[in-house]
Amino acid sequence: MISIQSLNKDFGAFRALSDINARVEKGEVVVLCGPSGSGKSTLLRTLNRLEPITTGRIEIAGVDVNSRGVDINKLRQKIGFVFQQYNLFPHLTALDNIVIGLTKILKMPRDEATKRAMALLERVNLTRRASNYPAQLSGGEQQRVAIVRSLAFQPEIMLFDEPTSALDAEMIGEVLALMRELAATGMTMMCVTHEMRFAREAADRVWLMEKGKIIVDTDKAAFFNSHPNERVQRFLSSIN
Amino acid sequence: MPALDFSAIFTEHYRWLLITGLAMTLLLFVLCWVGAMAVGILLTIVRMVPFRPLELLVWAYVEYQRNVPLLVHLFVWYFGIPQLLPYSANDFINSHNSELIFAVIAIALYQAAYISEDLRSGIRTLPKVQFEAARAMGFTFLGSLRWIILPQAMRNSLPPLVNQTLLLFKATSLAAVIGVAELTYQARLIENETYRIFESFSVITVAYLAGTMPLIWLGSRLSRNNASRTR
Amino acid sequence: MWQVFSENWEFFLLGTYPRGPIGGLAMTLIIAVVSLAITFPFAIGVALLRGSKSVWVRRACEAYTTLIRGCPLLMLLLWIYFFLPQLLGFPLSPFTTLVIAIVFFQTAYLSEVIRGGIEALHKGQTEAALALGLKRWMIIWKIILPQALYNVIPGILNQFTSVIKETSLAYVIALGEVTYSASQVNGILMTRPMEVYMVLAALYFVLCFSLTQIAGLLDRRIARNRSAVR
Repeated sequence: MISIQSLNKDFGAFRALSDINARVEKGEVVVLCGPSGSGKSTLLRTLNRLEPITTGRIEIAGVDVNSRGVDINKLRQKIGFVFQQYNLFPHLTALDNIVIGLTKILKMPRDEATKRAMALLERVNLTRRASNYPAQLSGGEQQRVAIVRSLAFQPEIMLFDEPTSALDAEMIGEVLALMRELAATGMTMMCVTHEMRFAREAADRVWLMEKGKIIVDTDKAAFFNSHPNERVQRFLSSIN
Repeated sequence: MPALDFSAIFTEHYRWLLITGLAMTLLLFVLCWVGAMAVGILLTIVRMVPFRPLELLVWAYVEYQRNVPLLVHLFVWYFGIPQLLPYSANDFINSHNSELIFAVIAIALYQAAYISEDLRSGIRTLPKVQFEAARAMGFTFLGSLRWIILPQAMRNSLPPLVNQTLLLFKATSLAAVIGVAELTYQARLIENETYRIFESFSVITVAYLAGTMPLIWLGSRLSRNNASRTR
Repeated sequence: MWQVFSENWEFFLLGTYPRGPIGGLAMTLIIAVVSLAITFPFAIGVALLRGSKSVWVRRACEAYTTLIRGCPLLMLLLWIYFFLPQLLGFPLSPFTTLVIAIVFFQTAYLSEVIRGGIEALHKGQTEAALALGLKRWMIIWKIILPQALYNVIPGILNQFTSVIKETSLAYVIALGEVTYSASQVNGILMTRPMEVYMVLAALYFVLCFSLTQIAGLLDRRIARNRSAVR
């Protein structure tokens, strides 16, 4: 589903991503972890071309993301992206945040779009919040709306960039629950997070990044086994 | 000072002059406002395209407009431009109220520079990630501007835009100088014929204040609201 | 365009001076400087009175600024040009007329700028001064105003640019500053209005653009100084 080959990314003289080679299969849930500044978010953002890359190649469902001919907007509709700061549009209600993409990008008729949006809000128990503006919602509610806003496009891949790190502790659970549920449906997911709970419960693979490189790429069992490799151990103890 | 006599300037003839003057002021105002908004929004969009020469071009335009008096812009358009146009174009313009046409162009282009500045600062207060979020959803560059960025920028810029509307309304009075028969022009005409200075100027003063006071009120209300909404 | 300027530059810049009365860009600057100099104390007065204890004084000042903001400067100028001599019983020169109009107009705007500077100061400044036992007017004069005025120097400079642009209305009352001079040049040359008025625009541009750039520079410097103090 996702294939990354010899990827390099420079910010000026600083090498943010260095010779990344990795694959994600369809239906896999990958958790990216690592110390801050290790390049996790940058890597995630290169996948839908929010960050242009310096050299290398990224393929998503067989399409070269950075080739000139690709219709990036079409491609991005297949890739849901969830931000740390939710990034709902503050001038639109929760419902319209979902509807606007359907009507303006997919050109769906308004009533059909509304129906789909309401169904999604119902899935996350937020029907009663449909006509509220983002500023009137809690952080957890905003993030759930942001997630279903991406789901409205029926994407093939969901990317999560630290989706819970801006949330108060009591709201993290509701967002993680939604993500677990999504993982269970067979969605291909990549998630940058420090929530090892989520990795333990829902991930198939874990990538550990350090200084722009993927230093560990292994399945979950190996990552969390009782005799972990030394670098994993160092990371796990550093976040607990 | 002679005794006040408003009836002297409310004869049928002068009443007609005042009414057409008012109509002309309103027409000027509406045309200029639409033109200024359109050009102002266009400039704002062009400015967001990450291409240096375009940015510089818009910057130069805005600086030129803002650092030269409106009266001079009016002269350049009304006296200067016909020199550059072919005869046929001048004939056409002269037979279609050239004063009005050039006044609208000059005032609209002038105010557009200010409007684009206000919109730009409205956009700059938006977090950059709003744009990213829209792009990540699959909105095109223009789509993100149209549906996500501009509506928010408009709301942020509403108080300054109301203020620009106020300034534009007042600026229409300068069109009198190149001979557009709007309120100020008619008042001078009436004053000139009747020597009723106080009466004729009072009438247009009331007319201008009737237009500007609601705008001032609206502007201060909106900026109060915005101030209380930012948390 | 250059030819028009090089052949008439003395008239554009000085009018007929030294043979006759001064005009052109020099006159523009004289009107602007004189107007702003007279406006300044009035504007400070209105700005301070808007913080007065008396509701009526505050209301009166607010009514004045609102009313002026609602009036086109051209209309104000015509009032003063035609009506004020009638009211006073003696004629006013065009120069005096324009200066009065601009002072009336700019007092409203400049007082808002200064008031903004006063309100931006921390409340603690007044409280600290009160705690020292300073009298109210001493606080205003020695503590508040110097800081507020220093901080709004860029705003005052920008207002000066506005004043320069406003002096172009002198044309309407046939006062010989640069816009009027340009129209005279145009009247003599007859066939080259575009060049003449582009020269005029260029003169204003050079003057006003330099001023706004200086204002921007000062604004950044003052902002930096303030953040350094904190």
